[in-house]
Amino acid sequence: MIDIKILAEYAGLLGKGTIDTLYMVVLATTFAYLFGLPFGVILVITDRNHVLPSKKLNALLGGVINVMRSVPFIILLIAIIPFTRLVVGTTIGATASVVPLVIGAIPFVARMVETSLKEIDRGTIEAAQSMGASPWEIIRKVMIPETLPSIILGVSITTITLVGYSAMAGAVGGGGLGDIAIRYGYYRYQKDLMILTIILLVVIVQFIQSVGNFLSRKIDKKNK
Amino acid sequence: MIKITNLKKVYKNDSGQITALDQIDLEVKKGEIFGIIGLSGAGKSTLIRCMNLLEKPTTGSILIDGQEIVELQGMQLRKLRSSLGMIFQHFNLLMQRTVEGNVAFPLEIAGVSKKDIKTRAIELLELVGLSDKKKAYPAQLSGGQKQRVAIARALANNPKVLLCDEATSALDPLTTKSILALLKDINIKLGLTIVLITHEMGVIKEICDHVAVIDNNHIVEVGTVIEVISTPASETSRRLFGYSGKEIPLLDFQQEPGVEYSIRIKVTFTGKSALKPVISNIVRQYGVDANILFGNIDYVQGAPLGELVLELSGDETSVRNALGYIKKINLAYEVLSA
Repeated sequence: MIDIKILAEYAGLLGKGTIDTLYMVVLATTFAYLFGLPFGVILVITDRNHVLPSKKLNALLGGVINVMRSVPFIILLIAIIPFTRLVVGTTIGATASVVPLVIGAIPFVARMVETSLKEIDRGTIEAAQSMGASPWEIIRKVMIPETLPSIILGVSITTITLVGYSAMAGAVGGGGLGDIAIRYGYYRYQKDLMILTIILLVVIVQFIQSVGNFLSRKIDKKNK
Repeated sequence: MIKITNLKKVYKNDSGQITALDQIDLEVKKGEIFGIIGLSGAGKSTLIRCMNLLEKPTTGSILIDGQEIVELQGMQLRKLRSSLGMIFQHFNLLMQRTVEGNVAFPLEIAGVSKKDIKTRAIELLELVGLSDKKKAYPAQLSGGQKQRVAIARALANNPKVLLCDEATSALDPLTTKSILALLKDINIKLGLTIVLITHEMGVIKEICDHVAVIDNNHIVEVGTVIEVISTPASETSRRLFGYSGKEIPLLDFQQEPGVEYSIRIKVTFTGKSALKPVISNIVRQYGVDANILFGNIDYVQGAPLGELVLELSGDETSVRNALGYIKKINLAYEVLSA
């Protein structure tokens, strides 16, 4: 028989977990794009034959990104604990998890943005150049608006990746649904709660992907 | 308007150097339509792209309105570019902007106020005949309509010169004709200088005043379109513009037995001479027989340009006199075989 009391307790627990997860993921995605987007842009424009070619900067940035992406997230999480404490004053809880999530996601975002921006036809950029557009105008008025549908798909992929990362952050006291799955499901053998948690995560992932697809399709004028 | 002197462009890559253009001298006059024709890989695209420094020449000089442009950079280069319009083979429109938004783009860059942009965009779309499509997106337009948008966009900042990089090569023949008519119309209405490159001789014949023939990275011939087509001086022009005589399938043509003397010539008629009854005059006055082996009439900007391959036979003196007559009435002819 289903116990109403337990159900209510679960509901409260999972509700808070869901809110924590969404809070971490949304905040982390926002900050990751704040930093990752410019890096992605720099990767593209410093490439050969682009609007501001610079072999050195391109190689340097590309190298740093590759190194950062090679570090397993769980290691990064622990390695930057001092930095996390410096930024948010604590290393426990959802807010504290945002710091490693952002650091981990920046190089990922940079590559996602790079891939999107490279979809633009070389001729379109040339046309803008031929009209006297500056590199900044080309970035702001041509490259980003023209590839926005693809960038938005990248945002949903990044957000979903961060849902996964946030579960790992949960393992070291970060809060959210991942934390619940480990504490109750794994340590206390509460399988039913673990399954509920996973179902919730599936729903969240589906939702994010659907919203991303919908928005991307809605704003894309290329195939209409 | 544009004066190019001793231009050279060399590309460097891992396996060495490739010369794309060499010893290019060219002069484009204000208000004319100047065509550059050549086969793929001849260097014509590089040449037109040097004119707004999308390609930087290796050496040489390009004067536009008396200003040396090859060393321009940054702000000055952008200022120059905004005074030259350019259209492309694949239109290169902004796919996420409406037609109106595309036309507005160069105006935004030039710092025109929002209100003025709106008025100007409507004006430009009217000029290219697309007023009703201003809210449409490029993906909803046909190729010809896209090129019209590109033309409107290129004209937005009142350029001194319009550069056309294979602007009709991706269009079907009918659409090509309508785009060429539009270019001609703009050329006349606005007095705009147009430089175009193409591999289609039809484009040159239809709207160009002067033509430069480019082959193997060199300019092999420059002249008025009529000159170059009627009396091509280079093998490339002959190949591009017409029948070199050798290509006319006459080889198995058997000479009739008993004829004393015969000669095959190719006569080119231009302008008024195309209307004279040359052949009947030859036959009547000189008593030679004239056999027409090949004939063709072309129209260059509306003027007829005829080509006729004749075999004249009779006694040698009469034939020579007949040739003298052709020369006297200022017809160009070329002896193909005697």
